[in-house]
Amino acid sequence: MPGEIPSRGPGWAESILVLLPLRLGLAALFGYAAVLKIMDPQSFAFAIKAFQILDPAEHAHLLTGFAFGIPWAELIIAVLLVLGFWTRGAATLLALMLAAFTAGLASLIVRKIETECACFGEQEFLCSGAVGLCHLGRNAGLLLLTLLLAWRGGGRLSIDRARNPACFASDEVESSEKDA
Amino acid sequence: MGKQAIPVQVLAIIGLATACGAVHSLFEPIRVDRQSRGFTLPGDPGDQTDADPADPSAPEPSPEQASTEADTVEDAADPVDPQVADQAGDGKIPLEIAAQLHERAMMGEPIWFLDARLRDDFDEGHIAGALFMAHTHVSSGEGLDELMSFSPPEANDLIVIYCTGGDCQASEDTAILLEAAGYANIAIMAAGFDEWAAAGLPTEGP
Repeated sequence: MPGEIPSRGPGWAESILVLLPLRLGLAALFGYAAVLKIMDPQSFAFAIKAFQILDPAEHAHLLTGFAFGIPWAELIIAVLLVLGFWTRGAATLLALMLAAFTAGLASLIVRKIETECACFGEQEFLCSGAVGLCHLGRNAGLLLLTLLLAWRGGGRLSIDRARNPACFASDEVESSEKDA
Repeated sequence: MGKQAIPVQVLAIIGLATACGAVHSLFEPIRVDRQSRGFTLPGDPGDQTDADPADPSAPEPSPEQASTEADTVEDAADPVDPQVADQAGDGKIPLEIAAQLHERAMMGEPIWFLDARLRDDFDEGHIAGALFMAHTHVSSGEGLDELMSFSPPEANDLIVIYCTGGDCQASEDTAILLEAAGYANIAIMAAGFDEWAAAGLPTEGP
């Protein structure tokens, strides 16, 4: 529309130096965590139960649903992030999940319940032992990185870019003007 | 696809994950709660144990228990009233009842104490004669094989599981997996190991 300032998509430098490593890093982290959980859903169900938010006697179906659904969601998100397809949607869902996990961890600390995070299956990532401030800080950091990806999108090296080049048209016009 | 499609993308991913999870659950069912919280104590009228002291195929006490076995089973502590043992009806027994059962286990009765805490905690100290049995140890098959080698489910021996007490869920988790493996006579010690040790009851480890 006349007078409207076109939104500017990520440039090549941002795409290659920031967004691509971010996508691949988050995909590797959550993809690995997802595979561990998918291979042992029973342990992940116990990990969710240990949060003591859902009563297993009354909400067994919900616990079971989360135990199977969350790891598959993480795996699908990881694949989407690698491809750069639906990057904003995948990053948004990952951010929502991270926010929920972080709130759950905070509630454990407030309620003084000592349990392990099991956020990455039986593996530890940066933090170890019972849930504490380290886990909260780690999740907050991951949340910020995920929000950055949800805001900026997959960048130029992504399927999103190939499917919708119009988002980057303003950059190309600007580049050609500079060249001229 | 523009920004307005993000909610659609999110819902599509959730839907796909739900479908994948639903199919996965058909092939690998899990349990999140116990089927039954009842248990029978050795000597109860309702005790259906098949264990026979004269039967050579009967489960042998673990090495730890055998080393402390008393001369005769008749010297065992007084029988425990199941009503007293499980006052809350939640399959949990108080510390004093667990101590009585432990005394009987040390005398060779088919009662087994399992430690559901983490391996490091177990190595630092555990109830005398107890076996390491975190839920991961059961699900890996290693712990279950070990338990079955001297106390198969058919024996209906009493199994007492403990963890750190309080809000600890580890005992429940181990109990759920043992139930799935066929063990039906399971009691959970309401108190944790620290309370046990603080009460001056028998422990092992550094």
